[in-house]
Amino acid sequence: MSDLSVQIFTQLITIPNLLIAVGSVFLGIIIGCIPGLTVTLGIILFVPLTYGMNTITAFIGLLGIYVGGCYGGSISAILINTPGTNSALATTLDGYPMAQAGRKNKALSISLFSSVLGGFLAALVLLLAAPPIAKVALKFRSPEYFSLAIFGMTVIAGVSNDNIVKGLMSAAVGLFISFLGLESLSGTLRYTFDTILLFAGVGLLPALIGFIALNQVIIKAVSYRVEMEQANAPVDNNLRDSSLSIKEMLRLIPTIIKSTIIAIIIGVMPGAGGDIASFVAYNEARRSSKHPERFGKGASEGVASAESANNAVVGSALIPLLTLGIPGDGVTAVLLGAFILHGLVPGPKLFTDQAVITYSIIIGLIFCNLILYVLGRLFTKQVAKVINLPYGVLGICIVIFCFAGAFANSGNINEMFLIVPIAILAYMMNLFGFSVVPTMLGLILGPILEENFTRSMIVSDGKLSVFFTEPISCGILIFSVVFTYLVMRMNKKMAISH
Amino acid sequence: MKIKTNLYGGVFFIVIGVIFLLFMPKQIIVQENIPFLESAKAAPFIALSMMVLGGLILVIQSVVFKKEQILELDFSVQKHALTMMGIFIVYALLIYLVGFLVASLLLIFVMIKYFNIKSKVQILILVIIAIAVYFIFINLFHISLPGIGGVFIK
Repeated sequence: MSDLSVQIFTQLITIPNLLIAVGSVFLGIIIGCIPGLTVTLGIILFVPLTYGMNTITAFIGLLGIYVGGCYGGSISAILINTPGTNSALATTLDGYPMAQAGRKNKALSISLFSSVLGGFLAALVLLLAAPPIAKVALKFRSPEYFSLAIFGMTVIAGVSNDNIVKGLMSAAVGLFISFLGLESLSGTLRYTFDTILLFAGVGLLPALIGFIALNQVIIKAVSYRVEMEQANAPVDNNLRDSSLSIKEMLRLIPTIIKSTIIAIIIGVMPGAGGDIASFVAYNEARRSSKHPERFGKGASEGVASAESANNAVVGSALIPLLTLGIPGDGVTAVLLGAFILHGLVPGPKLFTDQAVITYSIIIGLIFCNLILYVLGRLFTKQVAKVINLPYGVLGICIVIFCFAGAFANSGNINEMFLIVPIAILAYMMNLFGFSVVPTMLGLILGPILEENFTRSMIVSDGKLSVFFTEPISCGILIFSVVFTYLVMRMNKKMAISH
Repeated sequence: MKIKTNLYGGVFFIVIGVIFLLFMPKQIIVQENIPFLESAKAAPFIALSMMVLGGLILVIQSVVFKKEQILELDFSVQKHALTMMGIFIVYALLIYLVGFLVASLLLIFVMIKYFNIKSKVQILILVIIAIAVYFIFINLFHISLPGIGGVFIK
C-alpha cells in the first residue's frame, strides 16, 4: 500500500497536473456561469485537448471542469436568476432573493463554501467507498456486466421528460449508431453501404460533438437571434456587501453535511443527477429548518443546501462509474466515453489493474475541490463579468472547437463531416421532444451492452434466461426496474412542486 | 404550423426502423452456422426493433388515446436553425477545400455579420482564438488540421 501511495503521489503531484487542475477548474467556473454552456458541453470540447496528455492529467482536467462548472452555475443563478447549469436551479430560489436584497457577495460566498465542502466530503466518500464496491464487483461476469449496462440505461427515466417511450427510442438511435461499422468480436461489417466513411463506424467523440455540442449551438443560436433585438441590460456585478464570516460558516455546516449525505445517496442512483439532489436537499433543509418561512426569500441555508448537494453529486456519481462502469447522469456518461477514448474500461478492474491512475484521479478530484475554493475567493467577481458576453461570440468559438475536436479524434476528415448530419438529426429529435441524452447513453453503452450480451449468449448456449438465473444479474435487473420507477416518481414530484 | 410530434415522430422511426431491418440481410452478412443471438445481427436487430416498437406505441398513443405533444413550428424562428445548418455544411466543405485556418476566418466573418457583432475587441478575440486553435493543434497536440494552412506551416 505504501508503495502504491508513493507511486500515486509521484505521478499526481506534478507541475503540469497542478496547472491543468487550476486551469480546468477556472475554465469550469466560466463555462458553468454562462447560461447555455453546460458542463457536459465543456467536457466534450475539452476531451480532444486531452489526447496529448497522460491519463491522470487528462482526467484531472475533465474533473476540474466538472467541479468548477457545478459551482459556476450558481453565479448566474444568484446574480441574474438564471441557472448556468440545470443543477443550480434550486440555488435561484434563495440565491436571487439574497442578491436582490443587496447580499450578492454573501450569497456567492455561501455558494462557494457549500460547494467546496459538499464536493470535498463526497470525494472523500468516493475514495473510501469505491474500493470495497469494486472488490465485490470483481466477481462479476458477462451476464452481470450486461445487467449493469442495462442498469446504466435507467438514466433514461430521469432525462426523458414526460415520455419514457421517446427516451427509449432516443436510446435505440444511439445504440444503433454505435453498432455501425466493424463489429469487434467477429469482424463483421454492418450497415457500411460499401462506403469507407462508415467502415470504422461513427467515432464516439464526433458523435458526442454532433449530438450535444453542435446541436446546442443551433438551439442557442436560434433563441439568440430571436431575442437579439431585446438588448439585455448588463449585469451589475458589484459585490460590495460583506463576505461569509467564520461564525456563519459554522452555523451552515450541519445543513451542508445533511445535504451532502442526501446528495451522495441520490448521486449514486443512475438518472438522478445534481438537479434532483439539490431540490431534495433543499426541501429537506426547509422541512427541518426552525424558520421554514424564510426559505424562498433569501435563506442562507437554502443556498447552502442546494449548492453543497449539486457539488457532492460530482463525487458520488463517480462511485458507480469507476466501480461498475455505469454512468449516473449525462456528464458521467461523457466521462465514461472519455475513459474509453483513453483506453481505460471503467469497472472493478480499474482498482486493481490501473490502481495508480484510478486513485490519482480520485485524489485529484479532492484537490480540484480545494483549488475551487481558492479560485472562487479570488476570481468570482471577475468571472461574473463573463455573463455579459453575447452568445454570438461564444457560439462561434464553440463551432471552431467542435470541428477541430472532431478532426482531432482520428485525423480523419470524414469524421469531421459526420458531425453536421448528426447535429441536424439531434436538432430534429429535440424539436420533436426526443431528448438526446439517452442517445448519448446508447452511443457509449452500446458496445459494452453488445459485447457482454454476445459473450453471455455464447457461454449459455443462446439462453436469454441466463440474465435471470444468475442471482446477481437478476438482482441488478430487478434494481433497474425499481430505480426506474423511483426516478420517474421523483421527477414527477419535482415537476409538480416546481 | 402545428405538428403532432408523437404521431409523426412515431411514423418516422417506424419507417427508418423497417428500412434498416429490410436492409439487414444484405448489410450484415454472417456465417449461417452462428445462432442469431450470438451473431453480429442481434444487437442492431434489438435496437431497430426498439425503434419500430416505440414508434408503434407513440402512434397508438396519438391515434387511439389522443395523447399528443404538439409542436408549434414557426418558420420565422426555424429559418435561423436552417441558416446555422447551412453555415455548418459550408464550413465543413471549406475546411476540406481551403483548410482549417482560412475556413475559420471566413466562418468568423459570416457569423459576426449574422450575429451582428460589432465590438472590435470581440472580433479580434475570435480571430486570435481561430489562429490559436490552429497552432495549438499542430504544435502542441501534433494534429495537422486539414488544408492549405497545414501545407503553409510546413
